Amino acid sequence: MTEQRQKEFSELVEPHLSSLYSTALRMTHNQNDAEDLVQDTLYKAFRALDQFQRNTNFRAWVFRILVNTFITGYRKAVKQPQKVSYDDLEEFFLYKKLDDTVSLQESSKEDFLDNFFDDDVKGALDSLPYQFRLVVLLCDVEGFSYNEISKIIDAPLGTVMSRLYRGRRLLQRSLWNYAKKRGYVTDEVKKRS
Amino acid sequence: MKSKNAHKDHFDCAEIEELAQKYIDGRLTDHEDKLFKEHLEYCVPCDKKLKFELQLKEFVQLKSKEEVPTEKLKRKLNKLFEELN
Repeated sequence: MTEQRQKEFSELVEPHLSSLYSTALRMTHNQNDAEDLVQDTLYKAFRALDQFQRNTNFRAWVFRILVNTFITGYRKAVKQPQKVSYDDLEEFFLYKKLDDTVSLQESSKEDFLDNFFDDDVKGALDSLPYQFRLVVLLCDVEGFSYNEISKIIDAPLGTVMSRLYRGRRLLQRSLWNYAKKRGYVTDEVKKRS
Repeated sequence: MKSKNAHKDHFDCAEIEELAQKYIDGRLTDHEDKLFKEHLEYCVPCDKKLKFELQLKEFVQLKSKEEVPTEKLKRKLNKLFEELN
């Protein structure tokens, strides 16, 4: 019985280990904590396996446990960014910034993203407050639907959408700041004729 | 629930901006999606912005991939089973 249960659990969880770990790492900023968070999640998921309704969405179920485990056990230890300003966060933030700068020709706007290293993007993600980072990760990196995210973070659909849209804009601003710091762009504004 | 845009026969640029995120995530109604795509066909600035947003979404997914210590995690899983036995 026990062995069968373990086998079933392994088969269910192994396809999602990478996703669980990647999300845990982006949430904790630290490999050891990420491994511990995944381990705690697996422990709780295994113990609660009888509560999981077969033929429903295991991936969303186990992510919900990961998120709750992070919030109750790890969140306080993770340094949150200093006060974040939500001013000037308009739609198409990055595109508009690129449109307004002197140094980039129209042809290079599409190539602009090639400048970034993986670590720039991870750093930009890490700079978001955790509520926004979590929803952006779940949607844009892990590919969960709005409804799935709503269940995973236990928040209404409207909250999911507002955090996602605001989180994406915060991420664009953060990428813009990285681009300036790394010298991929200047802040000099085009003169409009 | 009926969409607030059900009576519309076209979208302007401000409406495209307002609905852009939903479009990116495939959350528009069929009618909204049709009007949205029609607008992108004739409006080059909006079309470019949306292409950039879609490219950015893919880019974030690609660049945030991690090297995952899969074997280590599997070992942890097995250790967990041993402890529970």
